[in-house]
Amino acid sequence: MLDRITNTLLIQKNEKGTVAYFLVLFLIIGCGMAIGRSSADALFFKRYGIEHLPVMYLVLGGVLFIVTALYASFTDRIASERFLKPLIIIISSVLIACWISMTYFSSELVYPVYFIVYEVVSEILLVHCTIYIAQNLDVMQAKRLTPLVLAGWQAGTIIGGLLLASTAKILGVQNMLLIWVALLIAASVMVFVHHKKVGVSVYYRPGRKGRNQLKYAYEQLYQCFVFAKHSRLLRAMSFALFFMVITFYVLCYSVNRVYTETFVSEEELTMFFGILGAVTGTLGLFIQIFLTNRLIRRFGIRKMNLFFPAATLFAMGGLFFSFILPFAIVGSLVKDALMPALRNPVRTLFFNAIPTHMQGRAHSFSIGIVLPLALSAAGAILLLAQSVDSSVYYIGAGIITALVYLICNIFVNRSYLSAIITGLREKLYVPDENIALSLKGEEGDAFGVLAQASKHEDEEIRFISAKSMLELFPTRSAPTVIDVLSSLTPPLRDQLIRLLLPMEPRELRDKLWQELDNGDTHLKATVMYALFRLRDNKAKELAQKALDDINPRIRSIGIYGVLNYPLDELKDDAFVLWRNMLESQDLSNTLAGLDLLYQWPNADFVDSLLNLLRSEDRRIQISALRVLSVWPENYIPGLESLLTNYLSADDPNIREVATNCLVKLEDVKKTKLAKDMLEDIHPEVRMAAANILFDEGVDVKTLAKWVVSSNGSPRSQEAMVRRILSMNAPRQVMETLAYCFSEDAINILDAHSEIIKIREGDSKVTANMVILNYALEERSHEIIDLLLMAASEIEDPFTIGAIRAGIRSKERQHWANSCEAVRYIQDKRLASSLTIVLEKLGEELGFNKSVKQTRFSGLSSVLDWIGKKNDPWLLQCSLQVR
Amino acid sequence: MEIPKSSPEIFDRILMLKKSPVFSSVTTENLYVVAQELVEAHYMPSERVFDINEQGDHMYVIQSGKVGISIDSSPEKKNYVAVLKEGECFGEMGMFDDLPRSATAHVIEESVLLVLEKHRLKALIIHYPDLALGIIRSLSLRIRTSNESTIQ
Repeated sequence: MLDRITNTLLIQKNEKGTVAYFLVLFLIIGCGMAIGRSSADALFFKRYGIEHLPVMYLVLGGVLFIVTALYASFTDRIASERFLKPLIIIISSVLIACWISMTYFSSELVYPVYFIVYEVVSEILLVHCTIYIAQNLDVMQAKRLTPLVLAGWQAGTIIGGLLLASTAKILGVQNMLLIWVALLIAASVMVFVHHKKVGVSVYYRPGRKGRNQLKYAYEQLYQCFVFAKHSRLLRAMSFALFFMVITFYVLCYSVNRVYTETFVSEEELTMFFGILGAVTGTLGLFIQIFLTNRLIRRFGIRKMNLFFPAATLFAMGGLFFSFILPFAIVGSLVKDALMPALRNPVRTLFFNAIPTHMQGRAHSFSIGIVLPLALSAAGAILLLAQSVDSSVYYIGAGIITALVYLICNIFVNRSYLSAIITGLREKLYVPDENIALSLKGEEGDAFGVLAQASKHEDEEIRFISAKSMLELFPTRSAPTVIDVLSSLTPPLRDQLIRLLLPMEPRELRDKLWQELDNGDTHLKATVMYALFRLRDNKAKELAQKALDDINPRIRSIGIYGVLNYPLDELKDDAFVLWRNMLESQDLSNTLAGLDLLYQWPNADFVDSLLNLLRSEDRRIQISALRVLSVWPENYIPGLESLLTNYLSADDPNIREVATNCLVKLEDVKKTKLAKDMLEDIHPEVRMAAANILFDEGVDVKTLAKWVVSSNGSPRSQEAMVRRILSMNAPRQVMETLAYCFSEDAINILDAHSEIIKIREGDSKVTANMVILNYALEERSHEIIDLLLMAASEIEDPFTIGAIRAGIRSKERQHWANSCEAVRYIQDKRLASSLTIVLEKLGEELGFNKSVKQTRFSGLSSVLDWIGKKNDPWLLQCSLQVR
Repeated sequence: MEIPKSSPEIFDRILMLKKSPVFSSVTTENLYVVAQELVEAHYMPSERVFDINEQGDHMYVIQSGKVGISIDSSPEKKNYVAVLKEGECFGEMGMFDDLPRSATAHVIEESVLLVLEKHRLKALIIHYPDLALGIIRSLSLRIRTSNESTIQ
């Protein structure tokens, strides 16, 4: 029975205790608040006069501002449960003082004071309780459980209302204050006992300590004001709150005027308030338990965010047309039943999208700045309306503010997703990969900034700026970059000259002549190479000089010059020199000769190349293989066995260049070996294999089909996806890949869950089984990465990047935010697949304790499935298990 | 010293490495390569694996047995600051800072150690950057533990 109830209420097994605690706590607080509210209203309206209500709103605005500043000074610095204790002690003391004053001094002024006390307490306690929830539940939990937990508050309101209706006449309205105090103390004890057991709130992060409290409070509010300037969500929420508060208080004033005119005596009014409180509370509770949760899940919080403003608008409209008791009750139902049951849970969820460290400040900002301002505005409107003595004016104003409130909520909805993504990025630091792209959009500004940075005192910054300018604005940046050259050290000058060379800017030749003898030998060789490549007439004589130079690199550049101009009279000498270098026993001579052969492949040197390919020296092997990859002829004797040896070398650089040489083999051999190399442990080798398998001419759709059907390991698939991306694949191709990877991810996660189940049920688990478990876990993360890589090509890459970061954190809170962000992905099929993947990942990480149903039935079905895959490592693990 | 070639032994090693803080963030697939680089060495009780101030070129993973770490300036004295058990690593500091050993490693119980040479580890780190992350994580945890014990 209990399980059925918990399932209906979407409570997971490990959450029962937490939910029970919050329910009872909020029930006690809610009961006290109902007593406080009805007694404060009845005493104020009957003993002081409802005509003073607008003035009270103005006063309340000022009081709230001060109290909130004090509240803000502590709220982020102390865990919410610790803060609750002094808060309740202060409230109880003030209430006892009010009671003493009412009972023994009969002062009329105590009633407005008590009214203000109740209003302040109701705001502060509600805000504090929502912070308390946020510090103890993650986003996904909060989404499911907040409405339920707040239902405890509503249940308390019903009990409080019934208690008041039945006892107010017997005990006297003013003595109800003491019951409220008793309930507050009971709540405080409960919090103390609970946290003694479970420790500090899980998601509480302390702020700084040891500063002037009041100054710090204002600083906090100021920080929140600054934050609001950047946070569209907080800005929109603040405006929405402003108009909501005005509408709410206009509605309160309107309905209370109807009630005060209808019920003559203090006791009658108190009893009516008690009954009304119980009815609105029951309705609110019913909505909260049975509807809110499901409505939010069904329609999403954005649609639900519009419901309350629309209902308020309806209630105001009713009162506008007929200022009578039934419409006043409708108004009360909206503000007292719908507001706590729908509006408050939804607002709490929106608050969760604000960074955790700003949540407390944002709440304080709401009640410290926005609420007082809105209250003052509401007071002013009502005061003005009182002067003309007609309900039409203030209700009309209420209708307008309700309409603006509705519009503000539409803006809140639009800002929600970006707030979640920004939050994830800030929490987990997602590097801004697209900075260059975003700079490109702002061409004028970006060029100016980079040009300025290229004059920075730090050499690295000058160099990076120049490099970025060449990358982003190749046509217009050359003169600026050439100016930067002289300010750099020779190695960086060398690099910049190489980057400038393909653009062949007019100003470069003069600069090259200036730089010729202005650095080390390496720079000199680069400058000479650049001059020869540009076929500078004056540099021809340098070629001959270079042939006689003692430095092998300069000699090889000289040979390049002779070939590139060409200088026929020097050709024979150059060839002899080149052959000597290739056959030399001196490493630097050989490497220089091979570098030239890579730039200028010449079949006459095939014998020298074959000899060098059999060298024992690693550097010569790499250089010779590079030459082989661009060799003009395809038939080279003994090539296959030579390459097979190199493909199994320890050094990944050798394997990479050897993979590039596979183009020289016939198609069948090439494909077979390249497929093997796709599973290499080094990413560069896998990338080289993908490039070999799919050269420039291949159709990208064919390539995508190949990836889908290959069923290989995620790392081999990653290399192929990178290859596809380099070919500017259309959206449709990336969609196909993303769907395929999501399906694969679900399979791997299911296989992993199955293995976990088997492990949990078997006390004697072998090492092989444990490793298979690890391998599947690792594979699931790799395939999810791959899925997100494909997804980032069809969706906003920042959103996907933030989701990836949330998943990688392996922290419940961030994972929950990722789940929330996934719901807003435009491609519905992808979003639904990603949701399944994340839910399964949540199960794997222990965040989501729903029933673990997998596509597999036992170990053999998992092993059979692995057997059908082309994933060598998984296959090896499964063979060990068998 | 011998390198086992058969896969079951390699799988046992992978599992041990995966459970050790130094290698826990390395994927099992990459650990397969690391496991093949490890060389088995047997030590008897009261033997010393290395002495304080000695130059060190190896790191060790305990396959079985117990090793006590003493920071006493005299290598003979056994004032243990830590007693390491199966799956735990030691000697990795010398692999990175090139300084002499900061402690003496005494064999408490008959032990089988898996030894990784400095130049092999460096080569592995170049090829598998995740391995470096695992080692950084381990060193960071040790600094944290040391800080906490200093505060206490």
